[in-house]
Amino acid sequence: MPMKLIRRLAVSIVMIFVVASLTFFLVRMMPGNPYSVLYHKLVMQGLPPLQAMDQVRGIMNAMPNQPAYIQYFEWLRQLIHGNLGTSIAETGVPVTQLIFDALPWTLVTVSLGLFISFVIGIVLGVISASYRGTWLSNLIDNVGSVAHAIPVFVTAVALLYLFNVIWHIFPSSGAYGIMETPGFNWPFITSFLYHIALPIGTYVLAGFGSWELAMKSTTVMVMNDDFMMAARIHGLPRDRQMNYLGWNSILPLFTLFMLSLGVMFGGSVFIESTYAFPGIGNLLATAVTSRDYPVMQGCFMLTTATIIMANVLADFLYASLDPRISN
Amino acid sequence: MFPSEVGTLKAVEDVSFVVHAGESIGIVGESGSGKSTVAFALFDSVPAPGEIAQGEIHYFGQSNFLQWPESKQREVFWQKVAMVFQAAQNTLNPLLRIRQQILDIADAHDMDGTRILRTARDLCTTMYLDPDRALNAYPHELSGGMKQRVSIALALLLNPALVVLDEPTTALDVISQASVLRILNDVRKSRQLSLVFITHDVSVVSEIVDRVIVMYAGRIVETGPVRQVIQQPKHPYTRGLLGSIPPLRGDLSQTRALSGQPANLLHLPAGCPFQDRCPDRFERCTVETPVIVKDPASHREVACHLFHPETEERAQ
Repeated sequence: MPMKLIRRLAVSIVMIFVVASLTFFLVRMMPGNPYSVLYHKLVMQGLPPLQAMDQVRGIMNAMPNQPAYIQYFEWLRQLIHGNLGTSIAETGVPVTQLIFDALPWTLVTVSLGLFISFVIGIVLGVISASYRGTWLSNLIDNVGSVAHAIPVFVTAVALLYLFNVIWHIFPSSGAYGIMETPGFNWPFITSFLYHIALPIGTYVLAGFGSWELAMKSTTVMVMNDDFMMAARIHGLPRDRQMNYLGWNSILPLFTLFMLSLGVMFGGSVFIESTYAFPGIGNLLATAVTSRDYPVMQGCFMLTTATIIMANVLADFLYASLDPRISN
Repeated sequence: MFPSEVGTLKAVEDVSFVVHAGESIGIVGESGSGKSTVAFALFDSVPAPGEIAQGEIHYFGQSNFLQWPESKQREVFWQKVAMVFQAAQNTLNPLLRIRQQILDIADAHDMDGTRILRTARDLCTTMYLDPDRALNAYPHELSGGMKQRVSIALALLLNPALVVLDEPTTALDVISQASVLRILNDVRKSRQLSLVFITHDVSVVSEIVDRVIVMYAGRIVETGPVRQVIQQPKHPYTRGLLGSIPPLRGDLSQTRALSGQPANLLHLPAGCPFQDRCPDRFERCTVETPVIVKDPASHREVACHLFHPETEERAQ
């Protein structure tokens, strides 16, 4: 087992490295670069071209003209020392600092959103499975499919419009009110909860449908398994039967859950930028518009690493949950 | 009854029988004759979307079991009436060790776990299983035959009065088949246990059942003491069923498969359901459904116009 774990981890590190390297070149193949973005912005603001060029040189401090492969080796050398470089757009700020500033916000909203949508989906899935063929089950399934089918940015904008523009219940942007100081103080926590209500609501609305449908299908399958009939004839009480049913139906969803945790760690770009929420997704979105290569690479690397690690973790946890896999 | 897209299918109709204490009966018939449905109906557990539209079950002379509340039914389940399932491979929860599932059963019936585990160990030994290995295993760690024997041991766990066995020996090789049947027979004699064997192969259980019930298209076509039925089958279907078993020695040309397909339960013909495959069919079979009639002298019952007195008169 430890040998297997070490091997899996080694493979994962190689995978992360390969993806990061590909990302290095891919982001540089995007049309435009940080300098032209800034240059065009200045020109649009009315600066004459030559003056704009000077200004760009001044702000960026340099116009790198090394070939990409030399930049790549320099990046590798820095990476080994745990250095992800500095932001181009926010001159001089280390990428790691930008990421660590953004990560907690994303972690809290994503894990809460995912957890709530998972629980709601599981409960609705079991209800729908128990009442299958009735109007209740059809209603739940249809609501689930529709919620699942609506793109997240539509859900996000709709919630924003309803709860902010029309009803003025929740704030429209940010993670906490500007008057509060982050920390363990009551005003900050309430303000934070107000601010994350809409992003989390969006995660839940966008996510619970697929959990509901998946849970329903596995539950219906397990219900028809012979051992459920046997459990009844063994005389097991209802709650013990439900325990057999629940564990056997939830198990197939476990890997999926771990993977989506990994996917969502990257932060939902759409959700975070709609609510101007200072998380990883928003950081990435801003970095893309300003072609901030180091920040983009850092965000992508974080996403890659969490997905791959979530996968490894899922495999090993699954083995301890399902005796059929453990050998 | 099973509702289906093309209409409601009556898998079993008008099947009634009595099992005495210590008696062993065999329910015989080919696939789709309704044997397993009878077994599940005995537990008020016909698989969904099937349902029991009408009928009565009286356990030990009590009121109709089918109308009892679930909490009361639960007291009968396993404690009084147990079952060995046809697909014994899949009747154990894959996520729990056998030991835990035994403890769950003990718990469900408010019994002392350690005592039940001790019984389970003894039963495992009787079933030629290593108790330590079997009890500590997850279901997937046991072979098909071992799981089958575990499920027979489980059925005897709470010392029930009646055990229903749905094809109990299909996953076993011939030698363990014989020994498992012998064990069951011994237990039956020592504990006055009643057994209901459900099988498609009369020859397997002929040694240990007292009476057979032959089913076709969800109905009983013939019943009687096993020896008599095997030696002198009356109903043409029973004759065909017995004639299709290859002999151990001698001429295979004597063996004949029953011709034709089992009756389609959605489109049963008027008259006798077996008429299409019957070698002895005559006009009356296509008009009138034969009812089961008891011959008082031999304790045999048969549902066939060939054996009804008025038919015999007419034939003369």
